[in-house]
Amino acid sequence: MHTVRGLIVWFAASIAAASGATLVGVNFGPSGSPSPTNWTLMTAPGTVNNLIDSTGAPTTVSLTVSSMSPPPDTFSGTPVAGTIPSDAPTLANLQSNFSSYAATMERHRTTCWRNSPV
Amino acid sequence: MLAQFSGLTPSGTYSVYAIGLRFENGINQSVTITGAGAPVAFSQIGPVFSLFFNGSIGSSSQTLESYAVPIQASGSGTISIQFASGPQRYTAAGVALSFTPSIPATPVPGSLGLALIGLATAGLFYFARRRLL
Repeated sequence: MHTVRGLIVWFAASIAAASGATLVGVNFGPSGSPSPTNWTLMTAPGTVNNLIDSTGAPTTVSLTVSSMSPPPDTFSGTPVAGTIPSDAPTLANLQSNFSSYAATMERHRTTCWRNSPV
Repeated sequence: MLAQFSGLTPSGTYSVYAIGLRFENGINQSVTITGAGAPVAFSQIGPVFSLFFNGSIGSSSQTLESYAVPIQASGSGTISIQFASGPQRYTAAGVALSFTPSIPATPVPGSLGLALIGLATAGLFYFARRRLL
């Protein structure tokens, strides 16, 4: 009986492995923004440890988001339906972002130089 | 803006997604993904209110996996994604990666793989039952 039970567990694991990869997803936006199922919403630069995967299980994966000054703005809106890939669970809840002009090291150096007390 | 995944399997291969989305004036930015090998760079340029996955505008007739960029994690288990502003602001809607490559070295239809697993399992069940009876 133990053998049969073990085979059932193995079979379930095999099906899970064969049916696709386990995704870790993080979406950006203002607090309260919707997220795809089992994605993690970040509302500001920083670090999130032990991100969950698409099954909701915690992982060892972390994400650190950093940006040059000023910190990014957050915006929300509804994307055009025709640009949303046909996944299950749906990605239609990708409805927000982080956005700024300050992204390059050159701009960062300029900002630091301008703000230098020297 | 730099988004860095850590805690990955060192030198493991991951399917990575850099997702862009802007709500005014269209999108025009560059994205660079860096792991163990040479950085992979592409642009996201297109209309407003459109989702971009790596270098392509999204389509409801495709799956997320079809946009995957395979990236090998660094020796310390990191993959970095940089969004950089071009003529327009950078706009990052999200980032994602999957633990197993979604682009296998030898393409095998999913249904065929499942059928083979099913046959193998059925065979094991058959022999297990014979041993128990």
